[in-house]
Amino acid sequence: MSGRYDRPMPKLWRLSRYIRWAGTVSAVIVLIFVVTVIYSAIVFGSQASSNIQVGSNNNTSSHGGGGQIEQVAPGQYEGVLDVNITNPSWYPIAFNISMNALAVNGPRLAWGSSGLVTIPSGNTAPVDVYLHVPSNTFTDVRLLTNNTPVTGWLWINGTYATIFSMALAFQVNSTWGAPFQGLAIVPQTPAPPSGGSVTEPIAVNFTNDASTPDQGQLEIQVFPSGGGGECGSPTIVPISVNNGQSYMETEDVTIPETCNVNGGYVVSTYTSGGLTVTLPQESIP
Amino acid sequence: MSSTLPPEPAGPAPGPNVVPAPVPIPTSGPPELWTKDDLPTLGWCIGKGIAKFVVMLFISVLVPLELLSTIFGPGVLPIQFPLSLNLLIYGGSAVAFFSGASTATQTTRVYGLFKFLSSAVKLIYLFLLALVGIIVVDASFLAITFGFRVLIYLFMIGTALAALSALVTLYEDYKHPGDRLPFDFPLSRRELRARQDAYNRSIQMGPEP
Repeated sequence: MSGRYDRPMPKLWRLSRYIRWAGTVSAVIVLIFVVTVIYSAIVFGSQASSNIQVGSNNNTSSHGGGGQIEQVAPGQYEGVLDVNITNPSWYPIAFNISMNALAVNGPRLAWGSSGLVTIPSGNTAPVDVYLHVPSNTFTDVRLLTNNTPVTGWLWINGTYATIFSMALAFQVNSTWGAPFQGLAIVPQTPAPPSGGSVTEPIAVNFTNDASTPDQGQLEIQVFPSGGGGECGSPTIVPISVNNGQSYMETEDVTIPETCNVNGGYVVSTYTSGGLTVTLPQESIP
Repeated sequence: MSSTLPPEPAGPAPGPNVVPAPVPIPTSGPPELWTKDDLPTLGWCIGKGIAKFVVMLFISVLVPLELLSTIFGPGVLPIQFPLSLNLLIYGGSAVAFFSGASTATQTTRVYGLFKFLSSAVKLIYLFLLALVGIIVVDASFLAITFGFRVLIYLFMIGTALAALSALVTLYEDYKHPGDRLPFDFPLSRRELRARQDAYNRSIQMGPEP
């Protein structure tokens, strides 16, 4: 029998044990961290509808806020989609939002991104998604005058609690509602000349299939056949058409008697707030 | 036996009718009166190692395989976990084997080596798992990629520390073979007290003729 009254624990044995304890403690800490992260994420997910509010910021940027699109330069349109996100969980969220809209079998209509946003635990932060709309969106696809099938993609890439990465990609197939669906600007039979000018009645028909009202002004310009300058001064018509409603009005445009409009065309320009877009031209028979 | 017993208490020599004071049982420190006979037999250790191997095989191979087939299997849910079955089977089996082997050799000098190999295999297995490190939910209109690579790296810290601890044990077994055994296999408190009582009785009865 070998008594061991006077022998302390071997140093190496103690060192080994302490290191092993440290490893066990670190694993337990990580485990507790993971459990709290999962619980916290579930809490956040269950309240997602109340934590994410679209269009609630008082955006003061130079771009259009609240989802309105405005022209920032010739051929360049931009807007801001405002989203308020609350993070009630215990850990920070960092993410960026990107989006892309494609016409079916067509070009890219719009895209946007938010940049990197970090929302600490228990905070609410505004997230501005800057939208870019190329000028050809309005001319090539005739989005203003034709309802168009659109495929939208939304990507959210981020991290939760610093260590979990997450990438979400949503695909949304929908139909873009044109604000001037079926726009038809049809010249009517002109009145007899009087005082060197002719009054040309022009019928304007369209339906506002967009989700927002058409509120602004429509500028109508008549051009003669064979080129040349505008016939007379443009006619400006204020319009206010709620979404889902049709517009059927006839506007009188005064044209100089010397201007031959047969075979010419009509150009109309819509202006609303900071947005100015030229609608597709209509030929005059 | 007498050469390794504790020294006599200091003070005047006790008379014939004086009962020596009992040696206090230390509340900490090494177990007393420990012998190599107190070590479990190699057969017992091997049996324990085999049991651990079976349990680890269940945890690290069979349960994950079942989970993969029921949750992530084709046609079950639109969830993809791009983990190779070979990695799961071979990696999990290696982890289970070395874990069992380290338990089986705990009374020998190669314990540190097997303990280190067990941790090293776990580290490699976790690292390969981290390289996969994503779960993909792919529905028709929605795709979610969930990454947990950093989480596995965090768990690797504990395993790396275990490997370091095993290296220290390996060195200890090389420099001072057997020194750790009384502490790795200490006597139970009851056994310790029983031996202490026996020792005290032997002191009271005096030296053997």
